[in-house]
Amino acid sequence: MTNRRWTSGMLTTEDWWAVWVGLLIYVASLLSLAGLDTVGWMTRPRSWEWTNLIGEFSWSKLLRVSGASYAEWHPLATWLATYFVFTALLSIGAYFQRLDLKRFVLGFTAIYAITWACWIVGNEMHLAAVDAAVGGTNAYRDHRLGWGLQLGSGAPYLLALLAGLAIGNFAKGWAGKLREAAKPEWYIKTAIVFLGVNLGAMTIEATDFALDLILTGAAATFVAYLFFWPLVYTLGRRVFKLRRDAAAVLSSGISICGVSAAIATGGAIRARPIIPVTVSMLVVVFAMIELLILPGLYTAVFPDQPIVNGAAMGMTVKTDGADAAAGALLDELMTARHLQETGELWRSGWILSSAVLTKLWIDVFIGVWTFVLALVWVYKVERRPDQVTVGASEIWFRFPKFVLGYLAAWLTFLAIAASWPQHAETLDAGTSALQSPMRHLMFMLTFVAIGIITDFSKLKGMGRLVLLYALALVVVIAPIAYIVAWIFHRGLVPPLA
Amino acid sequence: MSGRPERVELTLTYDAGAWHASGAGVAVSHPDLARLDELILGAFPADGRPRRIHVRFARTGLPSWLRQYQAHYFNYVLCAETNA
Repeated sequence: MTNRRWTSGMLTTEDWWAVWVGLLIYVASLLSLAGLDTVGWMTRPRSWEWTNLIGEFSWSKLLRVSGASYAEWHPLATWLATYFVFTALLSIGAYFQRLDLKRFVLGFTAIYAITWACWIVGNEMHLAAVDAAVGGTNAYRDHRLGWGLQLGSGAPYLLALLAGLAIGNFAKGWAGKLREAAKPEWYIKTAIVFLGVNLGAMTIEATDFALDLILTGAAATFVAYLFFWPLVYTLGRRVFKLRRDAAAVLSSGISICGVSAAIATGGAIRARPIIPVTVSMLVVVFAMIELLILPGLYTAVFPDQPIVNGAAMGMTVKTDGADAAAGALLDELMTARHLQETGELWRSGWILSSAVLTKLWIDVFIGVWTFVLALVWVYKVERRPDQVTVGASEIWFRFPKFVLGYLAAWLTFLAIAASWPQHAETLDAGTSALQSPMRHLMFMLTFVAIGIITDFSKLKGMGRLVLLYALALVVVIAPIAYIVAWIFHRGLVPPLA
Repeated sequence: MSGRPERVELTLTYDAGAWHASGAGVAVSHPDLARLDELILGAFPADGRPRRIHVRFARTGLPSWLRQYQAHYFNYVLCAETNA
């Protein structure tokens, strides 16, 4: 199976299937404009308190449905409807991607169950409730909680991540069975298509802020590139004495967008596949380490710079899944902390969007960057311009297709709301299931799946490369990313909810 | 003899320490890619016909866990101007 035409991979790659699944649900939600609620069956967990639940158990204390049209349904029926719809859609995608369908369905069912267990438990008030008034009520005080971690919606994310990591590192046999369905990149890219709808809604609410975020995100990414790649490449060649091809692949993996950059650069310089594959293993494991450390660190050290923190995350964490997951966790932790300290509730999603938008610019740019590198390699390094040529189609093959879904969702939402302002409210309400619970479900699936595929023992035996990666991350990438993000975004805070 | 170049498609894989190119009646292998290109060019008859040989890496050659991150490795074109 090779990439021959521009349509290659449309039915066989996760990247495209994120677009199809995301846009299909989005289009279904648009039927709300005609008065049809086709996505309101989506269920979501409620905030609950365990003594209250034990006192009088009811599923409706744990789950609630999104759409008013489905209010009469039993909570478990909506939960099952959510399971069947997502399993069916993703299984169709898995079939066309030629995954083992039986293993995928079984694996997805297990991951789905783990995800919901973490999501529900993480909404227990001792973990999530913040001691502050929201909408005139203070749930923490109203339920007379004696103690609480006050993690906000970050609690389910942390639980999901820990559950996934526990399986990936302590139950490796089971992790192997789940691996067919542990597709964090697919889930997160679908969530990012949903996030396009959020961005559409956010752009209407705060146009200048959204545009500023987009443009400065592009500029920050460009500036960061100018420093990251040459510094890491020089470090690899001069200090760690790596071969030219290994240094180039590793520099791209660390500096640009992780696995996809390592593979793209490996391809551009026609390296043996073992080089990008080895670097990719490093990237995946280090991205998890960053996901575990950075959201808590930024929240603790820079609590008054939410957008800077989000953008720095986007430039530092090197896989889409880990970056968006870290951005989502940062969003929840910072929002909870700010609410706790000031009583002000930031609008959810802006910090996450700053992390995702920055990363998207990096992803989009990788095709162009590696095309240029491929030309340099053929014409200057291998010096075979008369025999070998590289087609511009390489840019397209490396272009992250889920970005098209994200842009389509964002721009169509914006266009509909701008063209028919009288229907903007209906549009917002009709797509609310995507904007919140569906997006959160895909994020939760990502957290569990990314934990399952992360095996820290893979770092064994990679001594020199691990040292270089860690050094480059701590000394070059993280500090420069933060400085660049601070220059472009300092002082920006999300609008109040 | 010249004219419109003949278009040839080859699939490239990497396995057991060597590159392998196959298709259009050609099957060659070599550990070094530049040397493989020479073998590919030598595999076509010296009939004076210009050829554009599209060499495409098989997506399935990447480990399955990796393909969710990037499903394209590389393609390139070899330009052959063989002499009769």
